[in-house]
Formats: sequence, structure tokens, C-alpha cells
Amino acid sequence: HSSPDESEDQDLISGFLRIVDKVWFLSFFFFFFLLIIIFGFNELVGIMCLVLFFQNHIIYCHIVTGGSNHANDRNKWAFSFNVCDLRSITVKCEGWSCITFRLKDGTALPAIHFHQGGSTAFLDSLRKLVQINDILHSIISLSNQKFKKDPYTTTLGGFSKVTNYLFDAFRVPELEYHQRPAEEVADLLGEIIPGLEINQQEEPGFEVITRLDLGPRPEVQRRGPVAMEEWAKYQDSEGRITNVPHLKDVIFKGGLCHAVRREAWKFLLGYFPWNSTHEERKLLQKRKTDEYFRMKLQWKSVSEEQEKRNSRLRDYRSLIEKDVNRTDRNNKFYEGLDNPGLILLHDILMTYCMFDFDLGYVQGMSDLLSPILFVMENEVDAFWCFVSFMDEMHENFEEQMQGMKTQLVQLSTLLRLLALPLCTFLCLCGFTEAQDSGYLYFCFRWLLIRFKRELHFQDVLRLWEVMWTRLPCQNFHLLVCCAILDSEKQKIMDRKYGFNEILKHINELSMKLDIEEILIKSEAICMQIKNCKDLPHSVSEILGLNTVTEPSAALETSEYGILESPQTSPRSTHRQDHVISNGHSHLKESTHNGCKVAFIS
Amino acid sequence: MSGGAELGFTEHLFKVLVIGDHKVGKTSFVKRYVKNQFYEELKTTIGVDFSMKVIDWDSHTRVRLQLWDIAGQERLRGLNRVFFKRSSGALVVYDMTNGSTLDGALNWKHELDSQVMLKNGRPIPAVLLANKCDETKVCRRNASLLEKLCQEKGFIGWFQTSAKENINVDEAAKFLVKHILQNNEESVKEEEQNMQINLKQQSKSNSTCC
Repeated sequence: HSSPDESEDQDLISGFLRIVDKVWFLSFFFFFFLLIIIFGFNELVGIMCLVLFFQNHIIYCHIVTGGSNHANDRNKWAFSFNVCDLRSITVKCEGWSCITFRLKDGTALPAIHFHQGGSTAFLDSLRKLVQINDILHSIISLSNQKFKKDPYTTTLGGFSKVTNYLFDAFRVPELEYHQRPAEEVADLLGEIIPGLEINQQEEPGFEVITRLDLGPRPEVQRRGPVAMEEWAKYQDSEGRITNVPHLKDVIFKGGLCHAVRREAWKFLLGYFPWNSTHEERKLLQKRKTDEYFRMKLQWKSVSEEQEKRNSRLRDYRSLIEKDVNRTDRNNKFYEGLDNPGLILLHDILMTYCMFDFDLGYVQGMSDLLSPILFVMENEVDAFWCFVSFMDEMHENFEEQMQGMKTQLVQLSTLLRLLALPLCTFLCLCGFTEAQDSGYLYFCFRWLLIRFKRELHFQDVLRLWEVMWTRLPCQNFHLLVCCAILDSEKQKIMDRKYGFNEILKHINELSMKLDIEEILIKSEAICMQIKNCKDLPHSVSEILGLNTVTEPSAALETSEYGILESPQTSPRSTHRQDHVISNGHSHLKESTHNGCKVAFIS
Repeated sequence: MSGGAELGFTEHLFKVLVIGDHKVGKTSFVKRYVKNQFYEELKTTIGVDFSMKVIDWDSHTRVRLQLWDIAGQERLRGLNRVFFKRSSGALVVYDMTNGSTLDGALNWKHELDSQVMLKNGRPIPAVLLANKCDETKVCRRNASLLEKLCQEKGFIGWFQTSAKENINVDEAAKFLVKHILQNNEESVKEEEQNMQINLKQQSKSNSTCC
């Protein structure tokens, strides 16, 4: 990017790099690189060809393919210059290498980002043509600067850790193109940081960094589900639930036996207050029953004539009818043609339209109701429990899908902390193109209906009751996503999956996931994060961890600027923008660091 | 999207989108095509479902079709655009028993064209499928209307299909694959031509430099 503040949007242009010898015109294929330039909004994929003429002293940058109307826009990034005009080549390491040419008249050409490696090979070839003198060896001071600014690596100070970071950052982009042997990676690094020793045995790959930052991931034990007798012990003679925090804790740790669910879910979902007595609950249920049937009567009593003039109601009804016929039909409760379960599912969803006509019915909601109705086996109770669950899930289904977008952005913030190499890898696969929500889009179904389609029916019940305890932190379901991705990241990166393959791979995890294993890992990740002292503000915000406001917290906020600014409402549109700008400014920030300048003599 | 050639044998991998309104039979169509089965009670698609179909096109060509069955509901659509990327062709489905889904199909086509195109800037090949034809009678007027629509909206063709009765399912897919293969060949040729032009340009500039 010639100037970071030229425009808000960034885009990627992929291409090749070639060095062409003038006499034989042989072109050496160098590796793909992705050129991030600040650009328009549209997806513009062009192929840039950089042709370097040896002794002709011409570096010629050519764009080969068309394919869109933006050829003119792209052409403005083409350049050519005389090698004798070249003053310096700047090589920066920001997870991948980035080369900038600076001319003697002071012009800086657009930066070329070698997302998939190859910069060293390019420089080697250039070295054969011209003499390049390295003038800057004080990489360490520069790197340390980086760690001060980088919220995820603030704890790093020592020299060896710097090595780790760069080792890590450098290695991932290489994975996609071709796996480099470790020695070669070390060579590459050695070139970036002269005089640096890399101990490969002790520090293989990116794991080192995450562990160094976050500390070890604790061992987590789960227990068996809460049985009826145990549940009964928590009730006093009038039916109030005592010692709620402890009860929630055991539910979080082991879930519930199926027999307990019908009662316990009503408390977990907030339909029954924990401190209510049997009597109070009876009254509440009576009142809620009346309220339910009042709303049910509203749609039941709409005549055909009326419905003809009410397109929204008609649309909701038709969607519900179609979806009810396609929800969990292999479950005993909903199978067969005239199963009463189907009628209940339909009626509750129709009544929910009356309860919240603005939202009405959106695809996916039947998936959320089905397990609740299955457990309650009662129309009214199931409705009110569903209402509570929908309070939480509402935003996922709203017109602009703000809830989904927010969650995807929050997830990416967490992943940056937990699996930075995976994030880098995903960026290279093109997941950055739809910058807001395209990123991590493969988690869409997970988030929209809370893993309902990913797990076996019984496992969904377990996961949901565990999440409804609200333990051990806010947005625990995002850590569940992280846990699954953590288990899959190596596969994704080793197999060098592209955009399509990743989506397919994640989609096909459905029904192959082990719920207990996932819960153990998610909890361990949560504890690991909680144990981390220098947690980025954005992460503690998402997980609701910073209950204590210390003066240092305020300082931290100002230091990170917009990126880490505390958010009041997760519904606000700004939140998303902020976190996204987080990503970018982070990127831009790091461009100031870890760089090596080479001058040509 | 095409694989390497070995002893004259070529393997292609194509991504094909299956799009259209809610409940027009996209998933049923895919299941029939891939597994030759019809399921009365399929789940609503959320996001996207994947299927793979391997076709031995001729003695030296194998085609792997990656079918992307995309959720049809309006509200989920905005985000689903991400799935359009790098696709080679599309099956745009509507339900013959529900007229409004034809309008929906045209909207989908429009959206498709605004999101993806071939390297040469042309729209990716798309076939219009009038599904559930077993449930309705075919009339001539309908046929001429569809013919006209295809030309106006840039579909390469249309088929009356029934996933349930297995009518025209293979035929429609085959028709699409044929066009994808043609496009593929053309783009390979175009690229070769481009390369030649570039080489010429380069040698010209080279000579002037000397």
C-alpha cells in the first residue's frame, strides 16, 4: 500500500512474479503473491506480472488478465522503472514478507506481499543481478517495538521469543504453496534476522507462541450428569432452589440426566425464577398458559379472507408449514405423517409469530424449538422456554443478521489469540474478501442454530444445558467454536485446503463431533485465557472477564485506540466496525516492525 | 479448476451451485442426481450442503462435480453470497407448482451474475430447472415463455425436471457440464493466446530497450 490512509477498503490482487532475462527471455516462475492494496470495494482479481530486465535496468510491472470492468483501476498499480533509479528495497515481515521498492527520486512503489512465500527466492535472483548491501542489522530493537504494540504478545521480551514469533509467522504462509523443510525455513529466517540462531527441536511451529502467551492449557475433568435425587437435594421444602451457583456448577460440569431436564430447563432458561416456590410457579404457569392461548387464538381466528389480505402472516405460515415438515423427522417425537409433535411444533411457531410479529419466522427457528419441545412435551412450557431461548438468539435471525456478523467478528478476535497461524492461513485462502462476515463464514451454521445440526440430538441437549448455566464465561459458545477449530486447524493447514475445501471440511464435521471432548477442550481454553494476565481488552470484553475496572485497564484501552474500545451494546453496528478496524490497524501497525532495509549499490 | 493431464487423461474439478427459492427441491434434485434416491423428508438446508458427483465424461476425461446446495431463504441470502465464489456453473431451480418461485429464480440468476463471472467477463453457464414437473401438466405456452426467459436472462437452457420421478435430472446436469467443459477449453485457449501476445509485447519492448 503506498499510503495506508488513502481509502478505507483493502483488496487483494493475486499474481505471479517473474524475472525475465533479456537475452533468452526465459521467465522464472516465482511464487504466487497477493498484493494488498487499498482499493475499491469489489473483488478484483488480476494477475500482476513483474518483469525485471537484467541490465536493461527496467523493472516492469504488468497486469495480465482482465475479467472485470475495473481494468483501469488496476492499471494504475502497474509500474515500470529503471534499475539504476532504484534506491532501496525494503523487506518487511508481517506474517509474510512484503517488499517495497523505493526509487532515487523518493517514489515508493506499491508494496508487494508474498503471502505464499517466495520473497527470498526473488531477492536471491535479484542479488545475482545487482549487488545488495544489507545495512540494517538491528532487527531486535525493531521487533521489540512490535511486541509492545501487539496485544497478543505483550508478555514476550526475550530474544528467543522474538525468534519464535517470526518463525511462526513465517512458516504458515509457506504451508499453502509447498511445505518447506524446517532447515529451509530456518535459512529463510536467518536471512531476515542475521546472526539469529534457531532451535528447531525445542520450538516446532506455532504451538510455541500460543503456549508462551497463554500459559499451559489446564487439565479439565468432567463429571456425570445430575440425576433426579441430586436435583431434589437442591430444593427446599417449599420448592425453592438453594445453592444455585453450586447447582449451576455441577450442571456445567456434567449436564443433566434426561429425567431432570423437563424441570431443570425451565429454571436454566429463566422461565421459572430459581427462588420461586411450588405455589408461585403454579400461579405463574396458569398466567402464562392464559397468555399463550390468547396469542394462539389470534392466529387461529384469522379467517381465510383476512389472511388473503395479510401477506406477512401468509408468508410466515407457509414457511413454517414447509419447515415443520423438514425438522428432525427421524426423531420419534416428530416422525411419521400425523405425529402430534408436528402439530405442536407448528402451533408454537405460529404463536411465536404473534408474540414477535416483527421477527416472525425465519428458517432455523424450528431447529431451535424442536429439542425444547422434545424435552418439555408440553405446548405452553415449550413455548415460554423457546421465548427465553429466542431472547438470546433473536439477533441471529434479524433482517440484517447483525447478531451473526457480530459473533463472526468476535470469534475471529478470539481466534487471533488462540490460533493466530490459522487466522493467517485463512486470510491467505481468501476468507478476507468479504471482510465483515465472509471471514470464518464456515462457522455460520454452528452459530446460527447453536450446533443443532452439528451434533447428535442427545448431544445437542447436553451442549445447550451446559451453555444455559452461563458458565464459565460469557459467550462460551464461541469458545466451543474455537475448540473445534483448534482440533481441525492442523488438518486444514497441513492439507493446504483452499476456500472451498475448508467450507466443505467444516460442513462435513457434522455428526462426527464428540460432545464431551469438545466441552473439555472449551473449558480448558477458557481457563487458559482466564489465567492469562495480559489479556487484550477486546478478548476480555467478549468473554465478560474484566469485571474489575482498574486504572491500568483504562490506559490499555487508550493505547489500543479504536480497536479495543469497550462496547456498550453488542447490538451496535459500530462494534463490528471497530473490531474489524482492529484487524487492519493491527496489520498496518505491524508493517512498521520487523523490517529489513537493503540498499542497492 | 481443471486438473493435470497424464497420458492424455484429464481430470476436472468444477464447482456447481444449486440455487433457487426456499423449498423448490434443490436438495432433492442433488440427492437424486448424486445418489439416485428421493427422500420425502429432507431437512431444511442451513448455509450450504455439499455433494460430489464423479462423471466419466469420455475415455480420456473425468469430471468431478462439487455441488453446492445453498439455502434458499430470503433472509439468509445476504451472507450466502460468499458461497458463489469460484463456481463454474449453476443450476437455478424453481417449483413449477409455485409461480412466484420463478421470479425468485430470476432474482437468483441476477444475483449470480453480479457476483461471479468467467475469466473473459461472460456470465457463468446457468441452467434453469422447472422442478416438480410430475405434479403439474406441461403446457405449450409455458414452454415458449421459458424459452424466451432463457434468452432474456442469459440461461444456457431450461429443463422440466422431477427429482421425485427422476425426469431429466441427468440430462440437465449433463447439459451444464458440457457447457462448462466448452468454456474451460475456450479459456485455456484464450490464456494461451494471451501468453503469446504478452511474449510478443515483451520481445518488442525488449528490442526497443536495447
